[in-house]
Amino acid sequence: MSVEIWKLTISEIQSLLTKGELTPTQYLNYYLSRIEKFDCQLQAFITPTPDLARNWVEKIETKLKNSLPLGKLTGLPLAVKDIFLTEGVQSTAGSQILKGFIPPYSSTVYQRLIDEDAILVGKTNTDPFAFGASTENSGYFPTKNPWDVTRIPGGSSGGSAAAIAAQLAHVALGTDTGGSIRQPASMCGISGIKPTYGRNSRYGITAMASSFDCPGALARHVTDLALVTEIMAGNDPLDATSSNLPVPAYSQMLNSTPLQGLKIGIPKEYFGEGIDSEVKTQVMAASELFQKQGAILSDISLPSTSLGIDVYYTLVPCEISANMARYDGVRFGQTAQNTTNLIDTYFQTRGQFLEPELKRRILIGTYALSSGYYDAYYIKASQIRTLIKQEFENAFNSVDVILAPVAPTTAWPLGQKVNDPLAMYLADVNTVCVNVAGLPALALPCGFDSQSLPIGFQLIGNYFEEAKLFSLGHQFQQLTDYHLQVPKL
Amino acid sequence: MSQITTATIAHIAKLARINLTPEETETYAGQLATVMEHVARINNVDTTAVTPTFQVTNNRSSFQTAPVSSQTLSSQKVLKNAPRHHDNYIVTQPSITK
Repeated sequence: MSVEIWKLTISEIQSLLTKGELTPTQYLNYYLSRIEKFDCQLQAFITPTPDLARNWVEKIETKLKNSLPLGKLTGLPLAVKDIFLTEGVQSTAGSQILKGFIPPYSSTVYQRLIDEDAILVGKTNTDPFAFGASTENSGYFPTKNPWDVTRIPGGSSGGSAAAIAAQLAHVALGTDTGGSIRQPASMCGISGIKPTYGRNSRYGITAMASSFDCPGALARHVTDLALVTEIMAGNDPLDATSSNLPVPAYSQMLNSTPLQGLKIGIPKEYFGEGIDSEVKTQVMAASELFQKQGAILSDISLPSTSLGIDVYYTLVPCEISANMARYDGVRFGQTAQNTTNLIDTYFQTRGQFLEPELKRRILIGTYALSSGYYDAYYIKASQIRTLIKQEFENAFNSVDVILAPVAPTTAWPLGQKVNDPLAMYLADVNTVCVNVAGLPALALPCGFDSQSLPIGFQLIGNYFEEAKLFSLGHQFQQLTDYHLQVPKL
Repeated sequence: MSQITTATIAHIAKLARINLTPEETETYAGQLATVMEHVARINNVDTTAVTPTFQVTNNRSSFQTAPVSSQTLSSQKVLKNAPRHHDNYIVTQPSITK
């Protein structure tokens, strides 16, 4: 068929499938052939699943032939970050410690998508257990940015972002604990949604920091993110922190927020020191586009922003040090050989199979929680967490949405920050506060720098205002074509 | 705040049950000192009378309304990923030795 499949939205594809102008097999093969051709170069996937995908698509073809009811995502080629458990398919979480782990059950949000006839095309690379901002910490290999293969794709959902940018999947799943959906989306020139904490179930996803972790989706079109989120979201009895609030029909609300009179907050702290001038220019141009449509730009201040990194890199390692205790070589994953007793098994297994960044964060968290330091670090950071949350709440008394750059710079060269953990942590400065507060944010592409590397901005909403973010993002994509730019491979 | 030395790293690695090589201990001592020095800025903030935030959901006492026992895994499935198992048990190295 002559239509470029990657340019179409899920609903346009579903319409072609219904009319018989496209078959699910053709839809799938478009993406599988690209994985086969380009993934050796990009290494977006730890485990591609082409055979499984072909098997599933046959079942969908049979349903179609027999006029049986089909799901809302029929044939959707879906890439899934390797920290989501996928029953029967290896889930390593990007770490050697889970090499060979075949989960006996699936994560709730993934299950909800395949129940609507989406098809898994592979498990994507990630920093181990999502600890990182470049995907270079992966226990397997670094993923390359499709716009420049000598550069990082961002992280930790770097495999998922690279897969969408390079048209290796139509939609991908990621998680955002401190920016891990938005930052790689920005660096790969695609869109990504970090919903409100608790909007999506965390069940069946390896835990990093349980009070921060937030599953979400990455795609080219905001309309696709709206539809997929509508299906993923909602209460899950298996996750006590998942919200009971009803899930709006996001995909039907894409024009529900008028731009005329919309108050957009521009936080000065997100445009300050350390933000690349080209990033600043393009993000301001995006805000001015909204202004031309009748929105009102309003300067605001979120004074505790720079402390976000310190709060985040105190609290998150604390939660990590507790969550990672389960990887002990006894019940699942790799185990050290020739150990003398149980405690020796723990020490040797963790010493041999945890990647350096895992050890580093476990050590930071253990230190901050240890006797004598708990009040100075954990309690103090939790108090500043309150201040950061309150600053956002106050801001939303005067503005409808906040607009800011996602990352201070575009994608940096592979290896540049890998031996300097603090420099790597500081790259999260514009994303972590959203997670500290638990707010929703949508990342969107808004241009390129002089090296043709993508630049992204984020729209931050008040709690559970995903519908507003999707509506604004959709309208932005109606006015621009940054989301339809693709890298030459 | 006290200095982070190789002895500090050795102590917390023991608490965290991780074997570290001498080279790793050295590297982490330097890196943790740098990171902790940066995050110690939080102690310059006046947080008198500020309540700490441990979760952002505003949920209070979330209880199960229906049993979820039907969704538990069979022991066969659970044991499948255990490095060593026998009958219905996971086998470990001895925890108490003479």
